[in-house]
Amino acid sequence: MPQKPDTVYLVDGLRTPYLTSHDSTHTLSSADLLTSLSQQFLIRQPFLAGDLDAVFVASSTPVQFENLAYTLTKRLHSNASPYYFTANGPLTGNLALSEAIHKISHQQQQLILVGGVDTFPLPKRETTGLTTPNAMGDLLKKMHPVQSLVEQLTGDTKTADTNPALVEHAEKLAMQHLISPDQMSEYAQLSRRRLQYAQRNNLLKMITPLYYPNTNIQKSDHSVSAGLTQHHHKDGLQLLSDDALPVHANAACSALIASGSAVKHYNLPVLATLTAPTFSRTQNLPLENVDNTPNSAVAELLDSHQLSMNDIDYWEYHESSAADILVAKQCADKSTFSSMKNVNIDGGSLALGSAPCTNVFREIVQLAHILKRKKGTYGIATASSTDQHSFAVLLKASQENIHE
Amino acid sequence: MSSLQYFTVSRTPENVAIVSLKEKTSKPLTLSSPLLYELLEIIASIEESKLKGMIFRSESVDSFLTGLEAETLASLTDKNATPEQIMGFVSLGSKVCRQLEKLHCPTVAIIHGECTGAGIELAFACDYHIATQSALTQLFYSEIEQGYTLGFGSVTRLIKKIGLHETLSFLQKKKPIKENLNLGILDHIIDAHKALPLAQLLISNHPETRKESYSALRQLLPAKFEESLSAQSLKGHIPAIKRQVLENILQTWKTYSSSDEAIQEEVSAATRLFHSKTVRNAAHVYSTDLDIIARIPKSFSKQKRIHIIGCSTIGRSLASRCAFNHLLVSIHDSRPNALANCYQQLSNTVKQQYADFPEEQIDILDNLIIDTHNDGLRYADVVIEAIQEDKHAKSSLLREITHQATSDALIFTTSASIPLNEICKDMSEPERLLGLNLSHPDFNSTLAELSASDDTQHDITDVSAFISTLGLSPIYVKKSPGFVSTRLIMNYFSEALKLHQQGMRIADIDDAALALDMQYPPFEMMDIIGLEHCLTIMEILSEHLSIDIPLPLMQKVDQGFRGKNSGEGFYKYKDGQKRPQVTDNLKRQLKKSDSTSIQKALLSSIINEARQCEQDNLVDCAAKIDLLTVKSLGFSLEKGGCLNYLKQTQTNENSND
Repeated sequence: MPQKPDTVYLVDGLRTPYLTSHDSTHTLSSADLLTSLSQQFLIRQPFLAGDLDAVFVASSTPVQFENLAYTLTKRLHSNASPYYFTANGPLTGNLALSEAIHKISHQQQQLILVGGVDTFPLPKRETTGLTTPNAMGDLLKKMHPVQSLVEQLTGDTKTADTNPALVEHAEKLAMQHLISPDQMSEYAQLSRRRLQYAQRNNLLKMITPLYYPNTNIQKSDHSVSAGLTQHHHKDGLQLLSDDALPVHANAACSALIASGSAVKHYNLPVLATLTAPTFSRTQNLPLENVDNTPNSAVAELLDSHQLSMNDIDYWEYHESSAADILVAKQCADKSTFSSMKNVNIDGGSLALGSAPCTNVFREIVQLAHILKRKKGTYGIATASSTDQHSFAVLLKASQENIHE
Repeated sequence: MSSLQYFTVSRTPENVAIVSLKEKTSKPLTLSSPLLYELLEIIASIEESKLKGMIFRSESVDSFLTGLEAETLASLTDKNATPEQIMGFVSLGSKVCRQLEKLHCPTVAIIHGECTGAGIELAFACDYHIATQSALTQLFYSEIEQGYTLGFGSVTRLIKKIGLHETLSFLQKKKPIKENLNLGILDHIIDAHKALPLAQLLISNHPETRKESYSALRQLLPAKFEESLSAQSLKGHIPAIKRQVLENILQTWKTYSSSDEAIQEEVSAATRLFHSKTVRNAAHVYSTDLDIIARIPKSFSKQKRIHIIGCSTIGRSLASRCAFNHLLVSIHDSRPNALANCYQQLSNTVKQQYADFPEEQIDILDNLIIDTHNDGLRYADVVIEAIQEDKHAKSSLLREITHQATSDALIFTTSASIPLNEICKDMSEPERLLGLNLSHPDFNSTLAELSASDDTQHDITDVSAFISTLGLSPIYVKKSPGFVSTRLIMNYFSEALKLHQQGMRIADIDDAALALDMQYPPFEMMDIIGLEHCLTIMEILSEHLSIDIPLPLMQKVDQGFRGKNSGEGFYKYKDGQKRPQVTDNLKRQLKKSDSTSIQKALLSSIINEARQCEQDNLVDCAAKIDLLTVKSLGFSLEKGGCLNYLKQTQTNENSND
């Protein structure tokens, strides 16, 4: 008889601010960013790094000859088993999360630190017609304060920090489902407003400031609204709005997941329980005929837990593009949300920026906090990729007292 | 060879002897007579066996040889030790080094870890000197700080190799090993795992005829020029106890140059120094320190978490010590800029100290966690309050700490002046509070005064173990405002300020203090600590003790002068350096009688306060007060601390009578 899977608890989560890669103050490597975050995360816990069973790390920016998970365990002085996920496609972070959950649910491990980190090199700047490294860029900023101010306001950096495949995919979706640039812009503005509201009202409890050796401090997410990217408009056609796609962001996020026995042993407060994620792929259909919404993954998830759409209180839908999320809403009859009211209520990737391997961790932790704050019960975090893969994970807010 | 206690000896297939100092316990390796005898025996055996070479190294992971064994030092500096007994030891060491130097085969010393004078003496009798590329490897003749050299001949050998001026420079100040390589002191710096193969290569390639490794450039320099260059390097303030040693070296060189007679003269000079009152006085102070450390039975687990609240100077210093000693420490302050500055400061210090060791830099910086939200308090094993010197703020914070911290956590306050029973009265468990008093980090004191409530629940050995892990020597002080060191320091300042109020110039008072061989002149010291901080402490102490708050300090603070960090206190500063005063060139010649009266006044105030501390039984022995006066106040080491000085002065007076 197959053993019943153990419950997997999401105990805690913490992230760094999302910083756009235009920021020249960003000088922390992936390893430094992740270690700094993990250290701050672990001092909140009643156990030491040495008590962890495993460390799962996902990163979209691999460093040659470096296994980030191994580096992290070494720097934390932990004997935890390191698991490193990189270059596994657009859902790398989701895969890492899924594996970690599997380890706990199948009683292979009890206490896992799981997270993602993404750091992008500074893009080439064309401020004076020269390609300038960071230091020169800073010097030029000092010499041309007006130029610098203009850049900040308009984000006129002519950078290439969005994935061309995403651009094409978003354009196709927009064409197929008749989503206009104005509709995309309206949604993107909604996402930004929600983020700003959450920031002003101190709702984002899971952010920890970053301290740099040059005394710079980054306390909150960069406002991406000031950094709009320009897209290449083919043949004079504008199929997407300027803010239809998220910009790359540098960020790290860590979460702690644990088994029931670890929660009891350490007397850990619990944010939510996590189900085994669902991965799904819609195959054998031409892209033109595919909605590419995460419906299939969500549908499978709901079926397996005998839940319906109406049971889901809140959603974290990864905003790979404004077109994507608007299409998901349009296809509401195929088991996804019909209203934006409960979707990405604290802002999403279009407002924050996208850190490909960090997003899923941010989303589940953010969702868990939303469920707690709003006294919701169920939430779904979901994402899809341009190659027709989709992912969904169910969170249930912790209401039971497992310590009884 | 009889069975070896201090060394292991092995032989390579190429017939090279590897002589390794055994690692005995976790304590650093030190020099003693039995060790020297054993080495002599080994050298004789190598000479007999006609081996191809000898490699001299240490098995310890972090030290080569670090000074004299405590008992050996005690016996050499004992007041009953005769010059013959002292010379016996020094001559033995000199003989060992001469035999090593004259060995028929080439010899290589591999220096890994801390190497002080004892190790330098033996290593520099070898033909080649390799240091390992490690953050742990340091080469410094620290015994000079205590007023002596061992006299085995290394000074003469160094002078022969690199010249007088460079030798004096090496002896005066600790340098990075790369600089020692550039000076010519070391022959190679290499990764630890490659040191042995390199040593073997040097031996196999050693030329048939041994050449004098005397720099060609040195030979061109006229002796007079070298002498004047070296004399220049002895200008400026050098503690008297150290100056004596350096001037001895200069004098020996003038008389004997770097001949064999100079090596013999080193033996005589070392004997004289060991037999002198100054070295005995210094040994009295250092042996007290060593005794304190030796009595700590436990070690503190590196798995513990330390949490510091407050980015004050002491808070930052403690955070730095924890990080450098591989303890995980989180630091919280309600001011983000203070946290950012703390991180920057530690980052710069680490980069400076470990410039060539990026991995060590990362390792140390990873130990420090900037804790914006005070998350580290809840599960910390040690909590240290380090906010500003304000009774109400501290009381309130400590009350909160007691609520949030675990029941086992050690809770410290770093208040230098507020009585413990006043700060702890709002705590739900006041008996948990421990007092911790450290000197300003710029004064490089390694002492920490501790006090506890009479009904403390804490195991004192745990507390001592934690303090010693930070590289500090814990001294238990009875609960009292200002501990011992703060009282002494504030009295010193108060006296200096009174003298200034009577019309003495600040620079004259400071000069008189330096002439008294005080390590820190009072007004410079106040500027370093901060005028406002000094005033706050004096005001608090004046409520409990008879300390006057002289007007000049109050006036300076009212006028907005804060001290060195702000650019102006009693002196002006630029980029951290004291700026010459306009009136320096117009300085009147201070009458000798004025200088003497200043010195007398300063000395009296310190001695009187120290005596009061002794009478109040604040510590369990007078030697600890001496240790505190030397290390925390900067009292002359040559005098062995103020109570020791008083005792000797009274004895002299009695004998004169």
